[in-house]
Amino acid sequence: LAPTSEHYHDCIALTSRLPGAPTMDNDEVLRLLGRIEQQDEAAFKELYRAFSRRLYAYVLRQLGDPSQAEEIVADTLYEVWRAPAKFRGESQFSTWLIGVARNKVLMAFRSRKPDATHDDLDAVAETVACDDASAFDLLAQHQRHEGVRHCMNKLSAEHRECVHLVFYEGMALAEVAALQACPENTVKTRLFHARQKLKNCLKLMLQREGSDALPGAVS
Amino acid sequence: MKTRFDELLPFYVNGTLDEGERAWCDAYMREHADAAAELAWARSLQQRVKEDVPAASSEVGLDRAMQRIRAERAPARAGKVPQAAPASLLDKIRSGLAALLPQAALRPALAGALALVAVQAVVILQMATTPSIDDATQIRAVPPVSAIDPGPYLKVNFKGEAREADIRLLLVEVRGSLVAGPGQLGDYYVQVTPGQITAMTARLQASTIVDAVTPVDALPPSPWR
Repeated sequence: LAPTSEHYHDCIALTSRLPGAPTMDNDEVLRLLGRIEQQDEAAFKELYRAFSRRLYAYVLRQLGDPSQAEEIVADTLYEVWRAPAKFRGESQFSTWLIGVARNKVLMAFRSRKPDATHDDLDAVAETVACDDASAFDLLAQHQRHEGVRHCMNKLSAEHRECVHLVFYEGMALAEVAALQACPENTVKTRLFHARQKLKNCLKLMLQREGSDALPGAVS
Repeated sequence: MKTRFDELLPFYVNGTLDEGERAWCDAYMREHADAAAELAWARSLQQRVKEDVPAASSEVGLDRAMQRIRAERAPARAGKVPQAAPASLLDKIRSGLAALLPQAALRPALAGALALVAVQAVVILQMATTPSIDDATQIRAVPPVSAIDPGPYLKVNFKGEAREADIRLLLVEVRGSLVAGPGQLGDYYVQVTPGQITAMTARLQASTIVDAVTPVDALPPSPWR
């Protein structure tokens, strides 16, 4: 289920997080939702532009298919147009929105044939035994986002989602657990294993190709 | 303690720990040099994940969403135009039912179907409440004569292979008038000229297409009389 589409790489830019993306607090969101309830298309577009890229990043990370991600983003925000009152301000709007999109992502997963691109990470766990401070230093200094993306794509959907929600969205433990509909301890376990697999994957890249010849892992 | 640190580390990095948990992590890292290295890696990982941003416009998918919105609104606008003209009962039923359905695209078809079912239900109800009709006479090609028409009558049953043209020709030949039938059992009632009943009976019985002839004094009861 890992993203493997080559189009994915064309849609990723070496940019800082959401450059130029407007920030919007819940008060502003609720004000816009009130206008959307009155069929105000301008308000809808404003809300759409404020959250679409963030939503797209989440869906694309999970599915790896830009056209499918675009469709789900449009579909998710269209639901906001149809029923703006569903959001009551009890959480961050972006968290709520990702929850709506998540259901659509799960539906998309169900319609896909399973693949095993993330299975190889378990196999490399024994290959990389060294886990001392120097290894962490090496990774911290040399890993690049292409290498991280490569290894992220090999994680299971749940693990990849956990990493995205915590490191990209900056969600708290309780928020992630609520979104993934699982106990907090499960989130902790998922995060631990996801980090272990990422670490092993990145180390393996360094070991196999050498730091000078590893464009995805070194700077 | 290492396990707890591993669990808290991602949330230490993203800044969502409460004060107590954060202080605990700080104390742990002061005591464990390796933990600081792990924190550095986790921060680096977070930075790389944040950098991995789709180069998409903030309008990604917006056209698609707006098309759906306008497609949804177009029928609603179009639906307001005919309101100037008085709607028929069927239209009112259809529009009333359509309002109950969630999918806009399916409303007209489903509402039309439900309206048809409603009309059929009324017809069936009317049929069910109509007084019952005698089984022998409810299926008729010719309505029966009124109660004041004089008899006598002959009840005639024709053979199964008898053709309609042959039956009509025979009745003309015997000068009989068909006044009722055929009933559900195939009974034809023929009015006979007074005094001719015996002769007419004989002529009918002689026909190869007649199965039985029975003189009767009156026509069977009927809701039409």
